[in-house]
Amino acid sequence: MRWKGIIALLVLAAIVFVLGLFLTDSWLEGILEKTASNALQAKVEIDNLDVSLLQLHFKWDSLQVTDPKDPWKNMLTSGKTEYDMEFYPLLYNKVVIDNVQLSNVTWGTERTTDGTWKTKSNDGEKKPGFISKTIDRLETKVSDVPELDFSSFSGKVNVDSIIAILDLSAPAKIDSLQSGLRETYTQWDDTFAKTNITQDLDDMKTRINSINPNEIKSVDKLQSTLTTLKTIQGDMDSLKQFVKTSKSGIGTDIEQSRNGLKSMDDWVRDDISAAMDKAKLPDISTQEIGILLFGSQVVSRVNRVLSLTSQARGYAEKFKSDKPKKEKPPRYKGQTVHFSGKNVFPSFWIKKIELSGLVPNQYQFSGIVNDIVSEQPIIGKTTTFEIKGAKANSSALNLTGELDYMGESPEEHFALDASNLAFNDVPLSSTKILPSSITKGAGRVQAKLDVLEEQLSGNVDFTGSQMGFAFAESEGKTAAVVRDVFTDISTVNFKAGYTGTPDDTDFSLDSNLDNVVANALKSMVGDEVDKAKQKIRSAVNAKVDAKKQQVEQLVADKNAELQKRIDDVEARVNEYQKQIDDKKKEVEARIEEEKKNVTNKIKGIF
Amino acid sequence: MLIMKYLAKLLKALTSGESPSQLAGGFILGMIIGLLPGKSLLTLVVIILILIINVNVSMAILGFVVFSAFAFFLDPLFHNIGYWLLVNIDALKGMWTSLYNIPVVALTRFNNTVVMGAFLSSLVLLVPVYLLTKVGVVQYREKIHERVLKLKIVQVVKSSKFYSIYENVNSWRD
Repeated sequence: MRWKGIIALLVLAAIVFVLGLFLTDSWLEGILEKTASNALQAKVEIDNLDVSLLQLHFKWDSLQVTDPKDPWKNMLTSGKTEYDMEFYPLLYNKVVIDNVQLSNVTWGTERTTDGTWKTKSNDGEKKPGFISKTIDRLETKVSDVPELDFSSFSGKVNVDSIIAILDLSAPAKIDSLQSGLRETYTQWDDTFAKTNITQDLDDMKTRINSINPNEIKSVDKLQSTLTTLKTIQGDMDSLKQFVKTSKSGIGTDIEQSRNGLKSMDDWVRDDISAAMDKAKLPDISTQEIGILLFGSQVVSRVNRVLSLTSQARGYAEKFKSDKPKKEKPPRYKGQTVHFSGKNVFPSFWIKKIELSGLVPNQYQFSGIVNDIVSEQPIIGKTTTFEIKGAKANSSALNLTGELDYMGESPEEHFALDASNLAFNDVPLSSTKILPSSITKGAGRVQAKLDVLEEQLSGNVDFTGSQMGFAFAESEGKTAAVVRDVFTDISTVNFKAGYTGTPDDTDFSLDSNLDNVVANALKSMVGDEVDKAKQKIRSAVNAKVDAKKQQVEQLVADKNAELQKRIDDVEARVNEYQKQIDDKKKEVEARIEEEKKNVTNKIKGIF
Repeated sequence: MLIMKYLAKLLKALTSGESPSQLAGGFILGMIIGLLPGKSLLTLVVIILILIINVNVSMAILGFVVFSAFAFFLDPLFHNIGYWLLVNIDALKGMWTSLYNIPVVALTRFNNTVVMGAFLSSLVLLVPVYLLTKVGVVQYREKIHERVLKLKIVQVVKSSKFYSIYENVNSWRD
């Protein structure tokens, strides 16, 4: 044992203790700020942290949490905050906080300094999960909606110039069809010519007619005639086979020629559609005004909740005791593996947060968040929150939520009901024609979002009245019409719905504005659009009609001719077959008759 | 200057009256601190051990410096070993869970993959490094020391002000 070492150790401990008395507050403040900033991926600032290590009592004067998406805005600020930490869990390297009181909480306030937070993450490229995929898909759904822009449409369309620059594909295709058909018909002509079917049938007729059973008197000659008839039947069978094969082939070719005629219509339609695209004729009937106006607002709020949900899920996943996924941590940091047990505290647990303050719409609100905890199964409770707000003019806000990570499948449920919301300068679309913001009005928002493992569903119902809109400066007839429409509109409502699975995400938004604006635009530019469409149709038809008629005539003539030819042959074949059958029967009857005569003659002799 | 002072102390320690066991003991304790990542109760315990038991502090510092360099390169290996022990071996899960439930033990951060990997590696290295160091000290004293004294760098160190002060202080102690 080295006594000098023990003395040095005691001196060192004393120095640490004394320094701790003076430096603990700022040291812990730095650690808390860094830990919270890393956890939230946003700069967190605490002012004047005061720690009593003996009582494990913490308090600070103010807290600022930067909005991760906008470093010049605070996601949350609070005034004086106090809480106590439990001692016993600290021996297990766990943090359990009893009751945090956050007062003067505000959301969405402007920051005076840049709150950008850069983390030194070395996690490598993570495969995007269900929620991050859903967030991206929802953003794409909204950004992919085509912007309402009629500026390129003047109402006067120079059809000739469009047709001139448009490479019509239908005429060439029709020509190709026609030559294909001609080739087919020629092949049939050759077939009929080479097989010499008419001559064969004539010969068949002569051979059948040459047989007259009544004129044959002997049995031997009758037997020989029967053999001849069998030979004729053999030739007839091959003629019948030819008719059968030809009839089937002709039927197929006639069917194909009719399909070809139908294809001509499709080719012409495609050319008309391409010409319409070139002319940039707006399709007024399908404008998604509601999504253009409110889509990004709805999606950005849903996505914010989803990204917080994703973070919460990430933490819950990390603290699951059974086989955590292997991470690639920064050097010297390692990966912490958590275990369960009867006497175990969760790694982190804030039992209750009582908060009160003011939201941007001047709502006074208060609420409780229960059990923010790293491992819910240990305490047997889910994380819940309920925030209620009210304003002098009787408006009310109720926000509830539950994060359930008790079982194998994570679940999150959120619901919001805010009535009599006042709107001032709420930004809307960035389109040139539609309103850029809501200047006044009141409304009610009811929203719901449920995420069950990898299934998402929710909706937002909005009803607004006495609405006023502001527009970005834009000129033109269309902009003026839209502005007039919105001046007359005082009530706005929309229903947004969103669903998501690992493979697909769906977002819809139906608004009363869709029809109102579309009808107004239709009355302004609808006639011109219809006329222009008619002009384009006529111009394209004029280019292809003659060729079309040619092909139609060819098909009609040649199909009828082919059909008649094969029908005639078939009729003659059937007729001659009947004659052969009759002759056969006659010859057989005659043979029987002659046999009887011979028998009778023999009987007369004896 | 601090390095010169430290080198002087180290040279002195290697030839002083301290036993090879004390020197080797200091070296392996330094090795443990060097391999373990910081901020662990284990590190604090080892530092206290160095201060209160009769091991050579200079050798502990040497062990710390040498194995810190190793630790930088071996960090991914420690992570893999730690993950394997903590997660993949089901038979050990009961033991880890029990340790996790004992107060203060969790403060050692044994459930961190790098801490576990580094600690296990230091345990494995403990005996061989101790024996090798001990043999090395004996060999140094018998065969190498005289040649080292003739090296220029050692002459510089020995002629430095710090070394003379150190010599004086040591002579007062004696």
